[in-house]
Amino acid sequence: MYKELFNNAKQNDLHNFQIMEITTEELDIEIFNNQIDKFETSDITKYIVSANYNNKDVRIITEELNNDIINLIKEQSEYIDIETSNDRIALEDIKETNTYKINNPSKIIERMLNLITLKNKYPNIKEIKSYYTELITKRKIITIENELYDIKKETSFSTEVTVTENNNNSTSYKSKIITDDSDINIEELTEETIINATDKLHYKEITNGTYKVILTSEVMGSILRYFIDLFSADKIQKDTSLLVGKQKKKVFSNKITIVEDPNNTKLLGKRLFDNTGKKTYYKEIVKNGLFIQPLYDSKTAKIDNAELTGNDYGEISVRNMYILPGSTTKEELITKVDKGILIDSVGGLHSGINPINGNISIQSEGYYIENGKKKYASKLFILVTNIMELLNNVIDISNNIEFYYQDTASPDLLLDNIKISK
Amino acid sequence: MLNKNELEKYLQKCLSTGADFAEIFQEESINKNIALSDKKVQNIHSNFIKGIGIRICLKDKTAYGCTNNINNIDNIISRLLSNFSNTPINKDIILPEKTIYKDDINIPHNNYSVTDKKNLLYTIDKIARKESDKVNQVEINLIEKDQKIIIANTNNLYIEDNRTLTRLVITAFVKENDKIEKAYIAPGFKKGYEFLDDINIEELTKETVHYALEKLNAKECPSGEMPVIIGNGFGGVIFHEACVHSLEATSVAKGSSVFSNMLGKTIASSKVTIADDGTLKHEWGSLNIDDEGAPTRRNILIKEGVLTSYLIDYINSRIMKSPPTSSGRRESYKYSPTSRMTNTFLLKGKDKIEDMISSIKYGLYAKNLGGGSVNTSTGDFNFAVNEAYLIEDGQITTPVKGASLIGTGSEILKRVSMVSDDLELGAGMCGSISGNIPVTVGQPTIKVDKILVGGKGEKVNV
Repeated sequence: MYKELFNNAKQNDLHNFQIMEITTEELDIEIFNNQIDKFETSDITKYIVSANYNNKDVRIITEELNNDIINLIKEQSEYIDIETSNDRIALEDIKETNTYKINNPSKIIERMLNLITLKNKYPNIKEIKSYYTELITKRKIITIENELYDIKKETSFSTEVTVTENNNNSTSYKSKIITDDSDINIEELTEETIINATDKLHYKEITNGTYKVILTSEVMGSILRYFIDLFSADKIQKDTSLLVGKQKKKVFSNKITIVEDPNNTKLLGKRLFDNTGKKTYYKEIVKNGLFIQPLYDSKTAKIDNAELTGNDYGEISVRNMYILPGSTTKEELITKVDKGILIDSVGGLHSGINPINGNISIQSEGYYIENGKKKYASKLFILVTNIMELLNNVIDISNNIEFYYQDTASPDLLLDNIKISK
Repeated sequence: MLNKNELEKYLQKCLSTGADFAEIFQEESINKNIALSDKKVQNIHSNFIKGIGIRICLKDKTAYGCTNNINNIDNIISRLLSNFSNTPINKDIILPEKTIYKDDINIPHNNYSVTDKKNLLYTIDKIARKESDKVNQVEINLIEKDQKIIIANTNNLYIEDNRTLTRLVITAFVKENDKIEKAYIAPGFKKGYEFLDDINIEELTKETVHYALEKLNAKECPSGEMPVIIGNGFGGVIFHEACVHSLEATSVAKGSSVFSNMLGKTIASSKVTIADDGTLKHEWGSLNIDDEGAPTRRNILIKEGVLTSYLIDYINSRIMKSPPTSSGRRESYKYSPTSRMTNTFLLKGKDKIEDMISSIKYGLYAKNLGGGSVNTSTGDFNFAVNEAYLIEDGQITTPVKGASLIGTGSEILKRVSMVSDDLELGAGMCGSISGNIPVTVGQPTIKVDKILVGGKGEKVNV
């Protein structure tokens, strides 16, 4: 099939013809209290086909690959105004093999169904929802000269617990994702979630003001996701990034070093090559507050006459971009706060974060800290800041880092002088 | 696509281990996004989707599988059947002749030429850049979706729907010194290119640039609890988020929603009547049939403050022992359907906007809202205000930026004190457990007596 397509492409003057085959196998289980609420299984293959026709780069995603793709590429090239040369960049051979498979779910289902027995220990539980996913992603790039492939497996468990008291409800959510078949202690994670939800049942209001603020690893990792474009060469070239003209200049606190570590096989976002087949590599994007380099795809690299950075995923993006951890433990971070707030949950990020001007105004929950100790839980307050202010006001960074997303992660950050609104 | 005989054979197999319901959802879709920036068409993102979703149920228990490999269907069904071990129901599956629905389209996507589409984008870019020399970038996306679905199930349903959606997204970026802002407008219709007759491109583009310019000069929004007037059209996202998500059977059936077991009770001010209506002709959130094959209809969810209906899909209707409301929706064959919204809006009232404004000593006029989110268990919501002004001594005064509205649905519903007669609808995308689906939100201008406003400005006590 592929051979015939490559022949057809050649006969039709399609240059740099390349097929990326992505196969995902997934199992999703959702338990609500003592019953299986969802059992889903899927097996999907899609193809990203790219070529240069009449000096126009075209890329099409399709779930059905046949000879029609040749004409589709030719038709779609008519839309594109940007001319690109059809020089071919030689790809390095990358062949990662592994024999992952989806496990028999019966044992994990039994454990998840058993979580409701925690009600004996915590009678204020109203409901427990738990979610389990196994996902295997196989990627293969086929060109006329090469075949590249990598594979990864993610297993995730998350739990959402609602506790109740006198008709007041409080919900808390926690998750854990791993990249191998080791065990996730789902019972311990669920207990942590119950305790967090119970704390927040007895929440107290926080006074409006300016505080020292700790953002947990999960919260900061999720905020950082909205600011990947700060470092995008495309946004910088189009004058829509806050870092236009700031390369090699100090942009954040000198405590901040941001790296991309995409080929680290232990991390969640592992990708050995990007969608063009370019080998990915470890890089410093910001070093001690200094903006080192933007991230490029093939189009923007040509404009800046820069080297490719392995960040072309259909658009410029990252895998395993994170703030380097410091040396303080997360517990020590709390002891450094005389009067402040720990934020361990945020909501409505897609509406409360403006990636263009950097403003952040998001609904938050967490704990009030006094004299180095968590004093009481609080919720329904607003973290009001700007990404430039946030990353410039860092006093200390924890030594722990958790990966909840494939693109970004962060340790806990201790910030000075951050506005909390109520 | 599977033919009738194959569908009957697979459905029969789905009932072989005691399940009492099975459904096969087949889809072929073409999604295109023609993207202009820097005055040029940079990309066309095309996504061709083709696959099958299989759902097997016994009472309230559901197993769902999907694949785009036709040779893998038996394997998927076997995996799903492992969840059921009852005595098979003795039932022969014989499907009726297929019922076919098709949108009434004047100018299908393929009948509008490449040149015409590109010229439309160039024209908008020129209008935006001419409007102000502070415009430093314009991004325009022309989005086309053609979806064909075929649903067959063991309740003798065999139905096809052909859906056409078109949307235009105009984003203007403005810059002054180091300050940068953007604004966007995104009309969408269940139509082909005849949608261009329904909108005034020049007006919309200029309006978008002016939204962005106002933000550039706006001061930071103050924070605190205050009365808020919410503008018509996309302002209706407040009800979408604050209330109607919590009326979806997905959370109601389990008793998880703050509005579970509240039918017939007063949950809102008497000024509030909310409908979800999937039948509105050519609206972005409309459907001929839902994604379970039921013809859409108008559901009155809240009438004069009293909860009158939930949004119920087929499986949750069994749990709730209440008929489905044609609300089963999914993004694609990759998702199992569940109860979702279509076109959801607050019905118009009789109050006048001038009276609303003059009644406020200090507050916020949230003219244009952005997206938001809600926790259906607690009703906590949060969403962004794209365009806002202070109200001082009964007058609209200064533009402000960075505002967000935060609260709980049950409180906000009771605090709606005035509703005007200028009902408008706005197109959006709603993300939830069955994927991202097109929805319309809408409302007339309303006054809410008190909402917690988030912003970087000074704290105010009203």
